[in-house]
Amino acid sequence: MTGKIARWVARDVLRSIWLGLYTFFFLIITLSFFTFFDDPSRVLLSLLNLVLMVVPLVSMIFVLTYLHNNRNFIVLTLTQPVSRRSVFWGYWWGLAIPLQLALLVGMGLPVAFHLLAHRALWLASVLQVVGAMLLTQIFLGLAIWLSFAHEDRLKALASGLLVWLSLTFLYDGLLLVVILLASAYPIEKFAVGLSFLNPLDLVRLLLLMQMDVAALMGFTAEVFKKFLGNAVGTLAAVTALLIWIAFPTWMAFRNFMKKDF
Amino acid sequence: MVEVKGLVKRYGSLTVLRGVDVTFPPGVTALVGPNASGKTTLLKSILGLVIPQEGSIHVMGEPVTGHPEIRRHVGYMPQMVQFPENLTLKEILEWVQDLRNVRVDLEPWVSWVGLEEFVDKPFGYLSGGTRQKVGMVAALMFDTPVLILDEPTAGLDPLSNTRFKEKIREERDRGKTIILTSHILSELEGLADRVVFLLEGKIIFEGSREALLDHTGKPDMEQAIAYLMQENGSEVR
Ligand SMILES: Nc1ncnc2c1ncn2[C@@H]1O[C@H](COP(=O)(O)OP(=O)(O)O)[C@@H](O)[C@H]1O
Ligand SMILES: [Mg+2]
Repeated sequence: MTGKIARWVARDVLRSIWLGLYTFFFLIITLSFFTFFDDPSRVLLSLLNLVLMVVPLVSMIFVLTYLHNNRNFIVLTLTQPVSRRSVFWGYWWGLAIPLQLALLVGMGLPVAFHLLAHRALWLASVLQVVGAMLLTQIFLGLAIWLSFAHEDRLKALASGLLVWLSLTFLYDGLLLVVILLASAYPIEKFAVGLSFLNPLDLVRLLLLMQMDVAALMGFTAEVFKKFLGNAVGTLAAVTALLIWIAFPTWMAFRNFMKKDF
Repeated sequence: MVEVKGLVKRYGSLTVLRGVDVTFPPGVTALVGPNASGKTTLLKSILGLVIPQEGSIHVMGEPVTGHPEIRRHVGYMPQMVQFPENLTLKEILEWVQDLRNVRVDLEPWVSWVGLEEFVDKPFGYLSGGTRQKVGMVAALMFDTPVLILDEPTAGLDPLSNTRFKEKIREERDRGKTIILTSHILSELEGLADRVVFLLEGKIIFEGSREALLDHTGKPDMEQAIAYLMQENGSEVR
């Protein structure tokens, strides 16, 4: 039943004009980066900055809007002879698949074609796409959680934006303050620990560790590499990102199972 | 047949249903009561949308709690009808059929509500009244023994309203259990055989239309209900 629901949700979402625009946006941007920058690491870094800004925001807003526009229909679905569990996972997959497809087409395809031609920085290129997909899944989980935790559409949207703002801007500012204030102490380990609290930082680390552009690496990436080494560091970051997917999804699921609709 | 025993529902510190015992036998029952008296909460408990703290609910003799499959006996039309925007009318009705694992010939239903020309149009294009009609079809098309309709006639044009009432009488005569709410009591006047009056989470009256008129000495349901509300110290809304 989960599969049936997911297929119908995906069919509805795939016809959304917004999803089309999102795909088209990445296609144009990725292609033009590859056209205008000769240096593949320039392309990846520009793309990284764009992904960190756009993918979480779009995933969050898209899912929150979709769920709230469809709330009454979801309730109707729950009055049919199906379990809550299958409705939850039906919507989870039904939203995830189109969003991931949008990334694969908009960013994955151009990157893959470029790799076929040049083979430069292949691991970083693959991680770029994988990182964007992980971020999509994380913010999808957060959005589902927030959507069903709030009856009020505006409150859900506001809290979603707040989460996005905190992870995108506030966190960097706080980190800077901490580093400045504690500059007398050995805070490197602390900084590494902190990056586990921010999935955006983790994706940035994941990519920067593969690219030997020391000047561009940034403080935490350097430390991360130094403390954990490349392989262990990558593994640790990916594990942390998977936990970032699992935790909000689990909270959303628990809430959904016992909620009064 | 729907049987509710000792139902208690609290939202946080707000107690909405305070021990509700009521039986909905075959026939049309009007569930009435002022705003916020708990009508929707009672219906949602029967549908498993709301999880009560105490009490039990049986539909066609089977317990509701923890048994989603019991809802195959129930057709439901919510107060606010809404469907996915990018799917067509036909696809939406197919989706609902998929959820039930039941195939129904859609054609007679679509022509019953006069929506033949909209079958392949995305749902986003359809107006509020049209959505209402599709909601009605989704509730009625599975020929379930129990029908729960929350404010079904709000927003319907007069012709659809008449057709709808005809249909409800037809379904009643076929022995179905039908529960209706409406804030316009005159809407239910020609339709309801029985009345359940809910006030502040308690059943104040449960019985046939005649018994209600007898009990209150009023000429019609509207006046009888108004009388009951005054008797119980509630403002008429
Ligand atoms: N999901 C909910 N969470 C908290 N309070 C609710 C919820 N649903 C309804 N209520 C409250 O319960 C009371 C009864 O509501 P409801 O059952 O919708 O009454 P009616 O349908 O008779 O107007 C109202 O005070 C309403 O605000
Ligand atoms: Mg109501």
